Amino acid sequence: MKELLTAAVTRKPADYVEVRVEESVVTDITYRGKDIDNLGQSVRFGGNARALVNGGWGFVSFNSLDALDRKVDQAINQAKLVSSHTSEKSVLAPVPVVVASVPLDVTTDARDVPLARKKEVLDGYNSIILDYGKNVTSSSISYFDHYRKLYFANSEGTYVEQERMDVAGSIIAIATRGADTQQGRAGFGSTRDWNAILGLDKHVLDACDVASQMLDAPPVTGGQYTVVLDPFLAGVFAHEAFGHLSEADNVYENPELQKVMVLGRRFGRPELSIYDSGLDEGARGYLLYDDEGVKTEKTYLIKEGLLVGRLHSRATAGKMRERPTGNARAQDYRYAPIVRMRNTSIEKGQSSFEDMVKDVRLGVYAIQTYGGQTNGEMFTFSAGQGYMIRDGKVAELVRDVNLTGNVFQTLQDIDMVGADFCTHEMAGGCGKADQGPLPTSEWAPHIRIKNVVVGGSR
Amino acid sequence: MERVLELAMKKCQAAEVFRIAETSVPVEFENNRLKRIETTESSGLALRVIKDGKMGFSSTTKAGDEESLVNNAVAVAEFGAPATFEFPGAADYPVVRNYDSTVPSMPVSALVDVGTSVIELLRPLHPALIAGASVEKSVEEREILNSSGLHISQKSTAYHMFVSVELVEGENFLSVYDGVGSSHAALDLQPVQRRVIEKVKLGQRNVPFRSGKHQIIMTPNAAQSLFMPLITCVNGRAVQRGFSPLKDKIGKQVCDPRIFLHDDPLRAESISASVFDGEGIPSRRLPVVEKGELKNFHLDLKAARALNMAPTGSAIRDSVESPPGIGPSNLMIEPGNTPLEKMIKGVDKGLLVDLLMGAWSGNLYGGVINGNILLGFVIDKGEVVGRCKNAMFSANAFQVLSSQLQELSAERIDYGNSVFPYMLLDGIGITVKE
Repeated sequence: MKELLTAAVTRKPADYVEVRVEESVVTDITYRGKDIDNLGQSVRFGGNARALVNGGWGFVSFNSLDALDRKVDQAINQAKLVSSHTSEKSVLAPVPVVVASVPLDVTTDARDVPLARKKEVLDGYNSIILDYGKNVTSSSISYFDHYRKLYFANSEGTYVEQERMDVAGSIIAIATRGADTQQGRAGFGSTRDWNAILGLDKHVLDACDVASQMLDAPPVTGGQYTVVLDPFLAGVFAHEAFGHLSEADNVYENPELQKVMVLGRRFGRPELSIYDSGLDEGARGYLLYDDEGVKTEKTYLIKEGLLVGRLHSRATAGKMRERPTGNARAQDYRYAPIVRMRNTSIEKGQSSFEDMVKDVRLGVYAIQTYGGQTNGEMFTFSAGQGYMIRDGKVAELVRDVNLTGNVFQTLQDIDMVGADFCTHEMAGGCGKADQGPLPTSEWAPHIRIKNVVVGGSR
Repeated sequence: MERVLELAMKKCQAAEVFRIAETSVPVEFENNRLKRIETTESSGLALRVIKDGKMGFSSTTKAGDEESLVNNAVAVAEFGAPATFEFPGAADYPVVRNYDSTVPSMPVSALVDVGTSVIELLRPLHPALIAGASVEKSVEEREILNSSGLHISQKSTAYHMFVSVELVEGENFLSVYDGVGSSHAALDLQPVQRRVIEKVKLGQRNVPFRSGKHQIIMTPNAAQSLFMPLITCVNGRAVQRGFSPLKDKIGKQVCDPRIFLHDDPLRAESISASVFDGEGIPSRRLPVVEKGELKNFHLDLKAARALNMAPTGSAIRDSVESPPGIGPSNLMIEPGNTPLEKMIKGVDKGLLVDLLMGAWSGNLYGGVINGNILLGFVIDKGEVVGRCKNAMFSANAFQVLSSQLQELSAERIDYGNSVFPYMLLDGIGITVKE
């Protein structure tokens, strides 16, 4: 492969050329209620060529490596056509030329686990849900393991081969009473150890408790509250509310946004530090080299409240004259890499959960999440469930807790960061520009935010 | 494909081979200029087998991989889902206008010209405006061959344009998105351009608004969010498993009597028009809600068998990598009588909502629609006066559709895969950050 790809990118009439090839195997298992809904095994093979000529990009993806040279030429011709419409120059931040091979480094390889064993474990969780009673009537379990071998070569002489594993899933308990349906969720994920799927009985039981109790929970009353987020939701908050804004492809050609995102500017209180890292072993966002062959790192975005960094591809870093960070990622061989997050985390703080709650007269403790979204300025996400906080104590369960706010204001309104930082993984991932779900991680402790708008139909 | 079927039938009692081959050429404009031209060619095979009463699935995008495709499906079938249905045989298929031979032959430079003219149209609106566009042509072939004697294929084309505008002034962001598509090249791009320009113009002035229960006009774009819970709940899988609140509502009133919702994969020149669904069932126009009464669920073979009903041609396949799912292809809501202008004139204090962010992320089975109003406009004494910010829209979609609808507009917007009118609603909870 090395010879084939290296030859395809060498001495080409372009400022830059790269070729990526991917071979992967995915095992999917889904349960819908008592039966397996799908059990499948898929082989994905394909590649792409990307070329840069005078600031214009061409990209060609394919399933066969036959006539690879012609495909590279096609990408170059497309790049030339783009460059004939623009007066831009090609700018890529310089990075060290790397020749590396990253073999799979896992404690338990999903491919070594017999299908019967995978099914046995999932059957166990499914039984917990279906035997639970108390209006818990159905389940929804999704599991996958994904082995990938990735090849990358560029015209600068970099050649990287990487093997990766990603195992993840979600286990959902569904409670129904009359026309009312509620859910409780547990999840897992790892790039290092298939065994991450084991030992979740208590979490699955908790999910059942939540689904069942939510049938009796009233919807939250809409309004503005002090909100305590659990580590899951705090992580999703970091990802949605600040991670996306830190992606330099929004900023690098937008002078107005550059004025807002000035390094050194205060975005939060000194308690708040947020980073994005490719180096956290086991995290679904773990990544040694990105899809431009750039070594990843731990990149601080906010340190003690100040903006100190952002996430770059080589093109965005080159244009902004900043350091590339290894954040160029592609969903798979069908897509060109764009700036994406890896593991976006809120660093451990000093507050205890009791401290966060004790002086809140009326607030919301929001737990777990269905997901979230942002446009840069505004974010929104929904909690899996919530509890009212009344007179310093966690009180009754409420449902339909959806939080929204302005990113800039909300970051400043984070007034407490917990000392209870924890790692956690979920299935799913991030979606951007039609590419998704990309595996990412979001670690955090509990955090407290003042003045958050919580939607409610009451 | 024949070889895959032949290999599979040596080891299994039934099999279905699905093939998809697509070439698409998106031309991407970012940050006010042409940035990238892509050509993506993808092809692959998916296989479903039934062996000893159980179902196995496999897929591959690797050429010449037929044997391992079959072996993988057979291997997983040992633990697979109980096979509760048979693959369908040949049937009579409708004629659908979903292929335009001028689409594949469109020169790339023509796509570049279309995008360039859109960017040039938008840029003068504001010096800080950042416009993006994606103009794409594609051609797709899909083919299904199964052991019940079905062998059918179709070739379809698609042409679409998507436009985005970002306008950042200090910490105030305005994001506008819109798009349209068709299977045919003779696509009128004017309405999209007009809508984007209007939204950018109206969105530049922020106007205060108060929390409370309000009259709200949903644009056709926002109205689609409002129907998401209903579509989720008529999904045959949710019905079959008993947790859809609509599971026993066929023939019952679930919406206001003025609501007619059809799913029409036969609509000529629409972007998702198709001759057959992901399992080879002939496509047909499916009434979902008529006069507010629930008429049909979306059913694939499996859900249909479980519910003892006929499949509705609603099996969806986006790629070879997953087995068929269930979903709508081309939703259409019948218009009402009220001209949009009159609808707006009739609102004393309210909002015109165009885009809800995160509306999909609540408990859809419960009908919960909670979204940040990413793009919405304040209506004051019958006039649209500016943009409403920092506001959350909260409603129960089932309640809204049955008892909070005031009017449907005479105008509709055709996005290429859906056609919706504007909807005037009453008593919608809006929470605004003070």
